[in-house]
Amino acid sequence: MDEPGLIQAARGGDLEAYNRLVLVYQDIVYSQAYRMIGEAEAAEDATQDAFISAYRHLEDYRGGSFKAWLLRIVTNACYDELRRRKRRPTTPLEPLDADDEEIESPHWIADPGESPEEAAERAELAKALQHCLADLPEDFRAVVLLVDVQGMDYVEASQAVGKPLGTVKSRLARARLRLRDCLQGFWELLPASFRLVDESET
Amino acid sequence: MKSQPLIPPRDWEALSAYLDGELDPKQRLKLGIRLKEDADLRTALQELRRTRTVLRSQPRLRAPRNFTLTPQMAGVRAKVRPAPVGFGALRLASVLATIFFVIVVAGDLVARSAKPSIVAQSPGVAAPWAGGRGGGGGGGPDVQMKEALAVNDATETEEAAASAAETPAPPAEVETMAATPTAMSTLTPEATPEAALQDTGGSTSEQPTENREAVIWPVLRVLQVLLALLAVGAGLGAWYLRRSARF
Repeated sequence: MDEPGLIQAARGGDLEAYNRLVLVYQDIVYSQAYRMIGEAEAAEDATQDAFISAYRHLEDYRGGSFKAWLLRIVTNACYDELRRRKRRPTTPLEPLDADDEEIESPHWIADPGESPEEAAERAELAKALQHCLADLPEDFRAVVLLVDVQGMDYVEASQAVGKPLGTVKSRLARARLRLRDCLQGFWELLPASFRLVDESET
Repeated sequence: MKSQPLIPPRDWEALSAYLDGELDPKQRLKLGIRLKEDADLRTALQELRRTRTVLRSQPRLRAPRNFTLTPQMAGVRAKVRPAPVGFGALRLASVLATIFFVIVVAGDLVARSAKPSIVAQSPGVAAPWAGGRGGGGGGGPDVQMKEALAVNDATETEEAAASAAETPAPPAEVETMAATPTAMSTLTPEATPEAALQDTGGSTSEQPTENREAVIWPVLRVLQVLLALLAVGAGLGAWYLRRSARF
């Protein structure tokens, strides 16, 4: 994919070129939105708003990581949504199964290659993690998602949140510390390979 | 419950950056030495690493749908390209051909529908014109109809006048028949148009009209077909040009 070429064409008004970029980045952007907000429908809205906003402000893109630029826009869209929710709290609706029971984790989170036990454990862990992420301050959550989930380095994360490198380092450390505390009761859910990480990397 | 090691916030930050390889070499070396000496620091590092591993193990979610933008969402209008060369001419040709085709077909239908009605109305209606050619009565309904269609033709009128001069029929009788078609009812069977035609040799004066109509009708058919072909062909051509210009 010729990303600079597509960006240039999109800047010239070529919507088709822009949509090719959307198809490349929509999983990353949606993933960030979902983990920031914690609700599928709101995450979809934030993702769509972010792509619309990005198209209309392509002139503001000054080069560098296009992914970081997009994630900055979607993160800001999530901040807006979260502020709106604080003003008008709503009860999130979980998807229901055939018996009108809440599905703990939507089907698309599950890995179809896993055994039922593994899938259940992973779903529990994902739920616990989402719960812990939701307890983090929004600024901390954004940074830890960008670095640890999206795999960005500190410089990219700094661009994405529009904050200095030192702020990113500090927020990331505090976010990890809070997550560590929150996840204390869920370590048993970790697969054995995760529990052996400490020994192998020390 | 396991007690948590008391680590200052500054050290947590250093440990977090150490994990990600974001410490400069000097700081990294210094922290490495402390890690070898301080078991609490090592424990803290292990817990941070485990937390990071859990976060990194989370699969990237797939977008539940595509988020591509439509022109409406992007707030832009679809670009209107100029019409291709020849598109306007083809479109105009198609429209004009269609109009003429409709006119010709409609005229044809009207003429066809008028033909039996004239005959049905009264055989004597055509008699005056036929009589003008010799008082032959037109030689039957078909001939009368054809003559009725040709009545607007100026040359036809002149011919009729010329024929009238040659006819031996009394002018008074012609005038009476023209003015009152019912006067035909007073004619004896011997004075029917067919009989009159035979008497006056009308069949010979009918021949040019039949020949002309024999030429006109095929021409009309050909004209209709040509117009229809032109309308459809030009329309398809215009459609193809417009369609190909979009891509």
